[in-house]
Amino acid sequence: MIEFLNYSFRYASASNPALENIELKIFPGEFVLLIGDSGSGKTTFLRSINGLIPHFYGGSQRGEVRIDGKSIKNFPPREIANYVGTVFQDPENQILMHTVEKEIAFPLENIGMKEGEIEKRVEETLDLLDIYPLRHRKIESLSGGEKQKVAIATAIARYPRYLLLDEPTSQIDPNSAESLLSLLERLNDDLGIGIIMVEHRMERTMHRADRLIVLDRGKIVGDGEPRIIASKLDLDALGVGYPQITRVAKRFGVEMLPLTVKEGRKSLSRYLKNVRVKEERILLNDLIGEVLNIEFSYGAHRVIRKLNLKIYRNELLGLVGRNGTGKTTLAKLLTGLLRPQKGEIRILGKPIEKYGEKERSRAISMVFQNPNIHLLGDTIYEDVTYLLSDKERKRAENIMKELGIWELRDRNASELSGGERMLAAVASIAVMEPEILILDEPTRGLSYKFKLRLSSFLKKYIQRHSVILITHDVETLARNATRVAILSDGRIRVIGNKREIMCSSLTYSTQVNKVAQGIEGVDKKILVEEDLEVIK
Amino acid sequence: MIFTFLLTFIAGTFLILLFGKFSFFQKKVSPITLSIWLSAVIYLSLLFSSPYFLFLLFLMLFIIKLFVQSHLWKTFMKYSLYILFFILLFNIFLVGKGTHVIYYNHFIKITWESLAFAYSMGLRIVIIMGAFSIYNSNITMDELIEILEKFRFPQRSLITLALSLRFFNIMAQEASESVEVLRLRGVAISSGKLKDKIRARSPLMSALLTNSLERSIYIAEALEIKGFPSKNRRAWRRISFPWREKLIVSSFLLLSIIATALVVMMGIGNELIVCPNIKLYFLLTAPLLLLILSRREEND
Repeated sequence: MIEFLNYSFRYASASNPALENIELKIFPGEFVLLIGDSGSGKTTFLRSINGLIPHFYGGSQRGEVRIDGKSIKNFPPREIANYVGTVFQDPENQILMHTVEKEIAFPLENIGMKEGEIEKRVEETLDLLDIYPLRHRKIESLSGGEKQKVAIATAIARYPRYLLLDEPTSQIDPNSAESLLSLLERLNDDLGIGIIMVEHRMERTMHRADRLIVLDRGKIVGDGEPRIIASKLDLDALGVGYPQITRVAKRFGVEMLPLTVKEGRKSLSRYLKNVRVKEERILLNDLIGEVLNIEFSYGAHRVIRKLNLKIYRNELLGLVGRNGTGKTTLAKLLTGLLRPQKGEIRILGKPIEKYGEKERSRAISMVFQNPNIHLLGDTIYEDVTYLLSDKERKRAENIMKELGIWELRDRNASELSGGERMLAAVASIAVMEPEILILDEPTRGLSYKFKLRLSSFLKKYIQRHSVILITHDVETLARNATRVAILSDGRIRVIGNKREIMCSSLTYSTQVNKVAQGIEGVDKKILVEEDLEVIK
Repeated sequence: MIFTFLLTFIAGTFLILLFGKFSFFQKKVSPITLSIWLSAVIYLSLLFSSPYFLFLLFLMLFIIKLFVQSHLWKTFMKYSLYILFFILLFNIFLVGKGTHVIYYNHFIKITWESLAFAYSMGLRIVIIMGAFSIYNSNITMDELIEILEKFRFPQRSLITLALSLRFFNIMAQEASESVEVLRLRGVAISSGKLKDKIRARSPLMSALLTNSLERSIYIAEALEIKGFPSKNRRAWRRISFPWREKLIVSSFLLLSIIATALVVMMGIGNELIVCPNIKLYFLLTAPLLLLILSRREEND
């Protein structure tokens, strides 16, 4: 059992405690979901269990944390690793060896296990996680999801009783995330490994957890069965949000909140019959970007095949598709970072290769998946205002305020959360006001609060310009998109109004749309709660 | 004498094929044996100057390439052949030393010696690149670490080496993406004078440093929770080194020592022109053969 006994911790450089008066017990075999806004103390909570606090991070501490009756203070993380395995957010930074089997064997080597025993454990772990085909693969050849599974395999190779996971799905695509979460459920069910997980993807995790712990500014504000906590607390106000289906149910005042689409079908049918989609008029006639029959290959690998696309002013074009279908390559071609081997790209009527660097950055630009590469200055303000004139600096201030990062302007990127960094990266490109702004997976790992801020910013941005949003996040897409295009094998297979493409789609519809599709007499065009208009 | 030595070395090469931990179908060879053999080939290529010897070394390398993985062979050879071409041109037309004159006018003097010297230099590059392509295609970084562990290198230094090599690629990728970001922000990164280009890229340095420092904290956390450093650490070595392979490796090492002695004491293997009767035939056919062999991709 893990016990927090009136535990508080403050980092050496901080003025406020990261955790305050924490008093709780976590029992073996529990599946605990730990949620909270950025800076609420979630990561500190995990570090206090795996011993990185106080053995790696200094600070002042009160009370204590115990595992199986032993105080964390008295034994170092390398010994605590026998009880607790840890998986961090970014798999890239926690895998140390070059091949999968050596990575899994690494912690076993460190406890001096015999070679035969290591062989057996590696074998069993690979089988348990169903990743045996990856055994001899080089780490750099793995996808994000595969890397995260290897990280989990390494964490459980020592047969710990608890597995701690800090936003394990934030850097991977939805399909990989789903597969990873199913795996965790299996480890919890079959082996009784206690799971303590920090996660933002509520729609995928809340129904899987036995217990929900909500942190706010270092304090526990909710602890209990997820459905009960979801009905008692306003999780939207706390910045963490609900699964979409739960939020819609809460809006209708449903008592027994649904956590899944299946539950939603039962509890929401009579309410959804009383609503319809608000009327919307979309007029797109100002063509500002044109892609004409382009082709592109990396060596012998054809990525883009005879692709055509039109981009209009005042639209947000969602670009969806499986991993590796060429979405990022298309974005790089549009921005002139890559040149098509055939065909042409015209922005504002001019071929992209005819633009000078500066002129092109005002015509079209892009925010990458990894915000860190955008943040090159000493402070966020420097990052956003780099190369801007004094007149343009005022614009930078407005954009930073709209995105809610003005207060962070004097901080270095390393002091910010992942979500704050992404918003800063968006600001650093949006400040040049490109006619077409491309965002590549901007909501990956973002909390509900940050997603809303980004959505609100994008809605304003398309009043004058256009946005191309590459994403797997259907809810954000449904909330903001004008049109949606599905890319597959380097071609745009379908393109059209978001409701034509997303409603009734097996892959790209929202939770509430899935519910609406299954109920007779309900408007099938419903995608998000903002669409709804009560008719009775 | 010379041919006896060469035949012995070629026989040593075939020993790998016959007795090494090797399968014709799975294309596996013991990393220790292969790495020592490749080191011996590189060493001999630097030791010999004779184009005949060097060409035979290349042929041996090519024979091995047919039986092991060699997906990087074509890439490495493409660059080697460009280099070879320029070395040949440069040496043939500009060096002009030697007594066996092929062509002479007031401006240019081409000799058999300059031709042979050019071949030697070029062949060395091709052999070294070929050896590295086979090395990189067959031996992973973890195997290199295991080999070094086997030879009792200090554990901490090895883990540091492994980490540096693993994260170097990530850092290089980040640097390239950051350059793209600067281009997206309108920085003329590849135009202007060298000074301008350096100035344009200057923001990258601090960003890469900050990211690396941040990553080093994550790595330290990961090491800590995985129980490193530990007094009890016991390396899990997948590489075995049985007596049969020890014998093969010993034979390479012995042959390399004999070759050194022959070169140092008797000058064998250093002659630029060994057998004048075959030089024309050799010099005409060798480049062609080299081109054909370096482009073959049976195992790719």
